[in-house]
Amino acid sequence: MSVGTKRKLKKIFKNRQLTLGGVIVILFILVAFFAPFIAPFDPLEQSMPRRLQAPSSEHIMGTDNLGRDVFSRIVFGTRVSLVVGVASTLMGGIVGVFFGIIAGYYGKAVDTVIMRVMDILLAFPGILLALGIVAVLGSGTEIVIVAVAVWAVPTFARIVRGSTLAVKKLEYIDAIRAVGASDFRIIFLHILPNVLSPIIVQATLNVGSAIVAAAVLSFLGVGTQAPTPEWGSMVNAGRQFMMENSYLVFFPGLMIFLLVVGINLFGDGLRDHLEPKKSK
Amino acid sequence: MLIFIVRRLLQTIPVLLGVSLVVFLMIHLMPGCPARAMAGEAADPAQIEIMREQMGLNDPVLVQYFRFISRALTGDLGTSVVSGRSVVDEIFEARFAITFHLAILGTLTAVVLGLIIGIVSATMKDSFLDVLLMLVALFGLSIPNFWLAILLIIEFSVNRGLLPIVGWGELNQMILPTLTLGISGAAIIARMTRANLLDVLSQDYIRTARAKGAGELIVIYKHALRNALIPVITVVGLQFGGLLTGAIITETVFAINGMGRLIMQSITQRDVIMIQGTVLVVSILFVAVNAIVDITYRLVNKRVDLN
Amino acid sequence: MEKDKDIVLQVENLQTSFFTEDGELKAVNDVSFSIEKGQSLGIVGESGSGKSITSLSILRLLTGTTGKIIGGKILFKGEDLTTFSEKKMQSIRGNRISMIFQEPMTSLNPTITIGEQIAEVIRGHQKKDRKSAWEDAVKMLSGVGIPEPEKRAKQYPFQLSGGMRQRVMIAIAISCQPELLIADEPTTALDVTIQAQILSLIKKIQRRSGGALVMITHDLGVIAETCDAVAVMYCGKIVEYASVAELFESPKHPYTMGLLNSIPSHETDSEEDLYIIDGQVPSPYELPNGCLFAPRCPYAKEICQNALPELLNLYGNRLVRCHMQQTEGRELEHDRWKSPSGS
Repeated sequence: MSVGTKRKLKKIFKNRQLTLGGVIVILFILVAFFAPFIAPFDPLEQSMPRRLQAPSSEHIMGTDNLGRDVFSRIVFGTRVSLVVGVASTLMGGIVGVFFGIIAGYYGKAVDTVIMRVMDILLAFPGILLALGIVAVLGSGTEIVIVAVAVWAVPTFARIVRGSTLAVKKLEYIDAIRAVGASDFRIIFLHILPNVLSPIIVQATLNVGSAIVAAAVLSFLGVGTQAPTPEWGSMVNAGRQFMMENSYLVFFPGLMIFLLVVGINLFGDGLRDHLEPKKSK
Repeated sequence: MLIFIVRRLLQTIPVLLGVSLVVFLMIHLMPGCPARAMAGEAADPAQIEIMREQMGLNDPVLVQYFRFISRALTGDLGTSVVSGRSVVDEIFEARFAITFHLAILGTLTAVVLGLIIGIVSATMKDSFLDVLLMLVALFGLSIPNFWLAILLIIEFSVNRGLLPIVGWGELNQMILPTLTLGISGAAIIARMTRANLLDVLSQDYIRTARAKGAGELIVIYKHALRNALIPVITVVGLQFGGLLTGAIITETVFAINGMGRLIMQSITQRDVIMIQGTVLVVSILFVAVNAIVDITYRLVNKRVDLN
Repeated sequence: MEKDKDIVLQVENLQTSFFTEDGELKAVNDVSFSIEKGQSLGIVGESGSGKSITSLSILRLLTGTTGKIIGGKILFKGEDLTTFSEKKMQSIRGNRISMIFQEPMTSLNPTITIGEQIAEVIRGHQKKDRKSAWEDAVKMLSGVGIPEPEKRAKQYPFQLSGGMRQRVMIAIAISCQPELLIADEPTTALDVTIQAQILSLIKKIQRRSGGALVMITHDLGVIAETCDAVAVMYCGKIVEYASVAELFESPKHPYTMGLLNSIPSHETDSEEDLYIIDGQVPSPYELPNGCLFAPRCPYAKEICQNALPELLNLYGNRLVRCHMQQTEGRELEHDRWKSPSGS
């Protein structure tokens, strides 16, 4: 191992946010992956006799109003949240990056049209757009993914357009063009790699906000539908029992919180590492 | 400057047209027919057809869109298919003031809390308190606000019995919703203020101020803060958008009859005309706030920007 | 000694280091000099030589950096500034010791009127109300040659040119009649025509006030125009000290010779005669064991690689840090400085 690599690794480990966030995220990924082995019960199995039991050694997070094991449901809920977060970020990211690069690279009318459309999407405050899409297309996990993806598109497009404009100004792009490289080649081989850092940082942070957005939709009853275990809808279902059985609200919410803290820590650390100047 | 203001205001026109088109198409694509809802569950196909004709649903989409726009411009957003009440009346007579009030309180909480935390953190950079406050800000940023709202209710209303669980109007009813709404904004503003202040504190003119013999308080409050707060203005504007959707959650959890709850009620009742109206009004509000923020930023920033 | 009375500033064995992730960076390494009332001392060196850090150390303005004074004394009128409380330092800064910085474009606060930026110092150090401090500020502006001072005082920095801003910086610095004025590269960022005006303004002010001036620059031309004595710094150490006349007449240190030879002059206008010091300033983290200049020195011998030469007092106050002068004491021949491509 060269001195340079060692130094880089040392720097990454010194970046405590990155390490801690990474550990949290990896733990959740492992839980999602090995959910069937970790969960002691079937997350869907109802049992009236053991309904609304407080946390005990058998049911460490208690049971819900249908007698389902909360811990098992939370373990399986990890899958839904991670899948929604990652899938919607990938979808929204790819579309946003595509339009952002096209707008930044070609400029002029193409840029104007694309960015005005993005402005329109951004004119819907917060998750209102996602809420509207769910209202139109109906609820369900797949539709939540699409809705949250659409909501993420303009942010990616803006960031990538800005970086593309900066890269385009560099002299070597002119040089490559002068040698006769095609637009396709320039975009994929020369511009994309150069705007990758902000994309990676944004994608990471977006996974966190996508998970929250999806949980909000489910909490409002228009996202992932019962009986699929999902943290947001578990909080919503537990709400009517919050007086006596506050654990029904507490644990699923805590999971969203922990996972998002982990992702944000990781994203902040990544930003410090990849874009030291911009770290805010 | 005047040119900038006019241009910025003109810019909102295509955006607003686009927004109205998206809202219109969204409703148009929505399953469930407003005519059927209007005519009532028991209506036979002939009656529904008459209703469709009356509501203009058989006209070409474009015609319907222009009718929607021209009516909206005269202040007519149609009538609710559920309650039969005028959408504009429902929003502006019953709901708007509450949500506006909530949003203002939320913004104030976010700005005041955020600034205090950001300033303290930046002035004590790398101290234990700084690390702690930034951790708190990270938590505030990551906490889902529907969960936060319920935790607050469990702690302050259920366990301690200090504050009412639901409602709006009395002072003690406003505390928990305001907190719920303000916390994520406070976290974002705190992080932003800290970063900006640290950035400004490394500027040459801060060294000049110190070289003049200015004390630390004057350096921070007179020389640094003013410059550090300029970019925060933009964040406050963006936060307002988060606040508007935050209101959906806050109003749902605390059973407050504002616009947010109206949107959710309309969605569950499939009251398409009402959804169309409220989403449009909320978006117009957001576009307007952003235009105002941009203009304010430009006014404040004029001195710095021109060189 | 009666001479001691007139000594405004005496720096003794000053050591300032920066502590970074990569280790300790000795920016100022055992630097001593003194300056009398009415005298002007130049400190010359390349960027990274520690000259600016020396000036920031004097005013203890290393706040917000990892820099720290780790040794030595800074005697101002006989009192050691390194022992002062922050509060006491604040009453000195801008009042008895002032500083003019390199970047007039960024050294003024963009959101405060220039009148207020001057009046603020006056109010801070003298018992004056807002109105009379403002009037003084306007007077200061006219004193540094700014036309329409009443109008300009109400303007913001962005409305002024670079030269004007540097005049404002000077007005701020001299508004409390300091006993010591430190100018850190005051003309580097300015156009050539403006440079001469600013230099003569600084010189004029110093003559008028009779205070002491420390002029920090990388430009020996500036030294020639404004200073009585000069200290040459290299890698955090003083390598030569002389009166300006002597330094230009007979430089003793190879580095000084190199610097002098690399000044383009009117007599030697052919390109071949312009000399360049070969090599690079060593990394501050990995300073050579021997003479710091040895790796770049055309005269270097074995001893230069192994032992750091002492600062030798040749005669009077004529100092040089070079083994050649120490062991042999003979004149070095200038013609060893050839331009790298010239042979």
